[in-house]
Amino acid sequence: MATARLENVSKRYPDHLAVDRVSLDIEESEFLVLVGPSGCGKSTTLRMIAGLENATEGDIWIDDRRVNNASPRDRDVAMVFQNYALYPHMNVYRNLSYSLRLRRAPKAEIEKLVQQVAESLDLTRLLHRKPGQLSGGQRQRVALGRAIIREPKLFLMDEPLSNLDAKLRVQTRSEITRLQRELGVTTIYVTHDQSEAMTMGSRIVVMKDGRIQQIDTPRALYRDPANAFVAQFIGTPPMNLLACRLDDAGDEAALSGDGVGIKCPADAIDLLRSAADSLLVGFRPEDIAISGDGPDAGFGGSVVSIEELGHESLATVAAGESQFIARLAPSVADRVRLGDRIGFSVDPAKLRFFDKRTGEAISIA
Amino acid sequence: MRPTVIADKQDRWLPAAMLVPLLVGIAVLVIAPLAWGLRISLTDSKMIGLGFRDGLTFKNYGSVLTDPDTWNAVWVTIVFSGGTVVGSVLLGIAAALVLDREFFGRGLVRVMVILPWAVPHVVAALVWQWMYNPDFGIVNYGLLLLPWVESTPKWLSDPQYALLAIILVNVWKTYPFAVLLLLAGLQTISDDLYEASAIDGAGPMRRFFDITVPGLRRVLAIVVLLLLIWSFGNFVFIFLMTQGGPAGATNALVVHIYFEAFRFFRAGSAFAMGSLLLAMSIILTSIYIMVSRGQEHD
Amino acid sequence: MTDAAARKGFGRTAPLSISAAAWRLAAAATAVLLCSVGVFPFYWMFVTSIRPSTEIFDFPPRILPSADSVFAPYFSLFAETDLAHWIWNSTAVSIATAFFASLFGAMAAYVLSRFRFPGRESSQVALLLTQMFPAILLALPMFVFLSRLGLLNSLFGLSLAYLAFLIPVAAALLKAFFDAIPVELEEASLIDGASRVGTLFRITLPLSLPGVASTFLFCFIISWDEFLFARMFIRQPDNWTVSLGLASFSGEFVTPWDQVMAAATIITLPAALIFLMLQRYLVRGLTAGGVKG
Ligand SMILES: Nc1ncnc2c1ncn2[C@@H]1O[C@H](COP(=O)(O)OP(=O)(O)OP(=O)(O)O)[C@@H](O)[C@H]1O
Ligand SMILES: [Mg+2]
Repeated sequence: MATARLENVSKRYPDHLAVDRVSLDIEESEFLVLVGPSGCGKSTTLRMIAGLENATEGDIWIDDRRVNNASPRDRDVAMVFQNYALYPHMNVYRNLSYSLRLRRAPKAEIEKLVQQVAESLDLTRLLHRKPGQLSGGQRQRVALGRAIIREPKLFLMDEPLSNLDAKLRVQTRSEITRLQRELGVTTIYVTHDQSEAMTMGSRIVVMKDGRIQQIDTPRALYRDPANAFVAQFIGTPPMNLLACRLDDAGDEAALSGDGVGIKCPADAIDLLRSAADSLLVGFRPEDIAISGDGPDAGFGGSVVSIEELGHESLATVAAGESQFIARLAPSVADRVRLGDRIGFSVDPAKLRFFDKRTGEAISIA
Repeated sequence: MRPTVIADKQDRWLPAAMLVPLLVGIAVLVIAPLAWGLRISLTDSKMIGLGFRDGLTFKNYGSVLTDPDTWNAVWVTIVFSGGTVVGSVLLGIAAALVLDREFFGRGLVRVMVILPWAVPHVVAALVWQWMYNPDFGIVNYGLLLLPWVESTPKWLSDPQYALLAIILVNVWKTYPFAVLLLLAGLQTISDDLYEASAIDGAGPMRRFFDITVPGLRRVLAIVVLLLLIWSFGNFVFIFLMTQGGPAGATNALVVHIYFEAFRFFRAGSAFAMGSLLLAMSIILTSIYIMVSRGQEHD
Repeated sequence: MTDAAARKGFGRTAPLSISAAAWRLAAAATAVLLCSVGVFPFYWMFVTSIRPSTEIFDFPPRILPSADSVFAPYFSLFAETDLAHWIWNSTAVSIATAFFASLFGAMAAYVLSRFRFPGRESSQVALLLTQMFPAILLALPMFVFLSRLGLLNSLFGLSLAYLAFLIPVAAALLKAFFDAIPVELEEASLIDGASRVGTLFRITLPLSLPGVASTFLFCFIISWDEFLFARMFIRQPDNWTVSLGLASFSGEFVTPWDQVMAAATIITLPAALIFLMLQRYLVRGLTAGGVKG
């Protein structure tokens, strides 16, 4: 159990800046998830914490020790790799006990710990198999076991679930979360799958192009994305973003654009003026209600496609240049036909605004 | 493959330390001798092993380059290498084409075809020397069985036949290597190409020249160059079977250099000829590196 | 014959046309011819070795083994010649050479495979170059070196000379094996608490054991087979290797062909067995560093 801290850490390859001034504070027993699109520098960040990669700039601290120049073996971290990296010439028992044997732990203790870990991961019957004789899920559990057997300061996991099929992935997710809670080990978990990040992380770090976009709890990330990228990256379907302008007329200002025609919330006017003619208004597909063509319908367009999911339907609505998605209950969806012109209303408190040029959120506190 | 960076603290000194034996080995056992040899070629050194008097002279190169024996040796080397390559490649292609098809007993045939390659050079030299024996040899006996053969050559002691005889042995010994490489090459040619061409109505000959040969071009280039380079340096067969004779008919450069140094004790000119050979090998090797590296980066 | 093979080869599956049948016949004839050419010298070597010495110079020679074949040469060889001693010398030189070539080659190969450093590319080209020089170019100056060091006529000196061209070959060969081992395995081991050296011995070497073994055997047979260096550096019959011992027969006035062929058979056996075992790997060995195998 430990804390970790990154201070302005960068990684520069000869032709590429993979990680750009990342600063992070990881608290004790926390489950921190790094998420972002492919190539955004998540693995590189994790590998710098593990010591497999040297930081070009910045400082890395584990507990209160600066570890920039420490070997991986001196950092007391454990890592689970995407392809598990089980030692193919050792059986499960020897894979699990490898780190203990390196530390010359007493035989009896090794035996006890291996049995204990094997039990908690349901590997007892597999102890004498080689990795080649295991299924993907079993290998994954061995990889986890190899990490937890040492009770390290930090767990580092790099997309540990991406080689599993969908069902096993969901199952293993909760397995990992359970283990982490039980052991209370500080964990940094890398994934490119935002839904995995949302369900597992106590805090989430969203990265893009080597930079941190936002660090927050899943709920805050979902409700108040720091910029348009996060808004569109988190959530399936993502937050709808529609371009609009502020038509400023004193207290009665309105926002208008393709498919948009709403009254500007009074407390927002001053803030929105700064980017009056290039704004993005955002809202979640589920925060939308059909309102016919009534006066309070702030958003409208014609239905161009309906995706039926059983428990709900996703209607794609187009208006001019813009498109947005509405999540509809089955009873409502039954009445909607392709090509219908429909108006929607959104609770003003659920509206989010972004500067279209910078992508930054304009927060209305 | 992802490179490893400095991760463990041992990585600061370990890689360099692990390269030391190789670097020292190359420096002491390869580069130094080569440089030394070049230096000696520029002296009037007589006895090999006795060092040399100081002073640079290009005399050796002058005399070597004007000596008809040198040019004879170069010519023999070229004929020997060229003959080996032609024979090995032709036989190699034939064998590879046969072995590329599936048939009963293919594994066994493959082993039998490759067998000559597995025999130690000295053994091959002796066995063939025995088979070439002009009076009791099985080769001449076989020839006499042919209806149109009246008299048989004294293979290794006849200037007309000696080089041919040795080329044949060298082909016998090296063509299995060509077979293995060409076979691997054939397997990289996609079956679809043959299929498409068969649908277009191309006959076997057309298919061979339109698809097989172009598909094998890279591998062929590599086979040719490697066989050339090896034949350039081949010493055992000539040394054991003919000693460069009769009348210099098989006196290839390598053998010539050896005798120059150890029989006639002209170290300077031996090394001068060595430099000639070195130049020829460097040219061939550079071509080889270009061809084979080019393939890697495709 | 599979469909693909049929289309690829000269024939076609059906109907079997006349020309296809002719092609098949030609292919079969080629196979038979090549096999005989490959096998016959071996056959002849063995048959000669067991022929009674009175019949060796019969002409026309008898193709089949003589009715009263004798295995006496196989015994007289050991009694009358130093064959056993030569075999011992060759074994010692070959094992020592193969061991150190594999060891030093593996060390260099690991670094070339795993680490990036300036000059890495050119050192690989250098490896290739050293394998390509005709041996005589190294042999002459080495002769001078070894004589200065008092290592002429010494098996140790001979082994040293072999290492000159076998370390680079071994390095090029083993690099291909190390390249095939995922880096993650080593990284996992480093994180689990092993040092680089520990990782090398616990993870990398065990996983590349087949490659190391093949490399060892490859170097072994190259040394076993070598003649030029041995001939130049070793003059005392006491230190002859099998190549030298065998070659010494052929200079004599009346060559005892039955004994020569018996010795040849004995010397060929281990080399040929290893060769055939390694045949695919050998192609890679001989083109190591250049062609990707
Ligand atoms: N050795 C290297 N040399 C040059 N660039 C590299 C190297 N390793 C990684 N990169 C680059 O650094 C960037 C970040 O890579 P990283 O592996 O951290 O991405 P990631 O976020 O883990 O992506 P993914 O989800 O695909 O695993 C990528 O653009 C990658 O191309
Ligand atoms: Mg990654």
